[in-house]
Amino acid sequence: MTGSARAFSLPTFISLAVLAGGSILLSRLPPGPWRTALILLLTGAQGLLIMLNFMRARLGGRVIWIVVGASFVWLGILFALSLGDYLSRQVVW
Amino acid sequence: MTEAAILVHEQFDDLAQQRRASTFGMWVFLGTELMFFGGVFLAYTVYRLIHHDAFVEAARHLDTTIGSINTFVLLTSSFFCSVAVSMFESRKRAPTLLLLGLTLLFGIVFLVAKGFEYQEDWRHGLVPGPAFAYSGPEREQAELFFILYFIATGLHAVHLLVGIVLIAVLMVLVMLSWFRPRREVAVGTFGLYWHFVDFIWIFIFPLFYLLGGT
Repeated sequence: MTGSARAFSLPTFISLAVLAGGSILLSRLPPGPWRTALILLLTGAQGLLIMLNFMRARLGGRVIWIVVGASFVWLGILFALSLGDYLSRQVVW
Repeated sequence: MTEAAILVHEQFDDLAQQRRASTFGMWVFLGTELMFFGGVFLAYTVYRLIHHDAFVEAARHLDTTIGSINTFVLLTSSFFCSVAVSMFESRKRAPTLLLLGLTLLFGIVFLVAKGFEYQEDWRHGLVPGPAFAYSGPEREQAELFFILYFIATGLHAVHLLVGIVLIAVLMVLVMLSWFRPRREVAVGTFGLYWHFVDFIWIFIFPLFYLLGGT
């Protein structure tokens, strides 16, 4: 497990740096929905890489995956219910 | 009595079980931290949707150069931390100490750069409150953006500061365990915390700095 984790560290770091650089370059384009979506996509990819390789969720057992899954499910509920409320209001902000 | 037996607390069968429990506990804690920062990200999302133009314009007043440098600084510290954990597991204590030291150093560099950035924000009148001197349109909505910006980056900085103190403590424990192992040094568990702090910054940076455009 140790050797495997170490072998992934450098490629993960390089991938993260490339993705971060890509996000910064994208931010120089004119603002628009596509630019926002692409930057968020690259951000999500970076988050996934950190979680899987640096935090070793990839090598974690089922219990770790349950904790990770439950955390994001709760976060999803937080966002879904709150945004559902705000976005369905008929108020002019 | 073997070294592994000395390191095991009485409630565990063996060192492997103890480490699994420690890792599990940290993941559960990080789950609560995700919800904690999730609230800040949610507030940002809601108000960005409502005051889109004001948020895009306000984000242009942040220093993307310092933000970008800090992103690479934190990613590098995470890399050092990851290798430090592997080295510790391979029982290579000297490289572990060196890599933990580098992780610490890059964490401090991040905080110093953040401090300079806050100073610039203050000088340009971007700190919400009586001294807020934003010159762009939709002043009140822009102030809301900066409130969220200082909450998110401030909370992140506090977490980083805690991490820096923990690294210093870990380095002392690793040094002590070199001579006489008394208890398990949870370098791997700490690594999870440090990477999580990096994980949070990975989202703060684009949301506040990049989505506004440069």
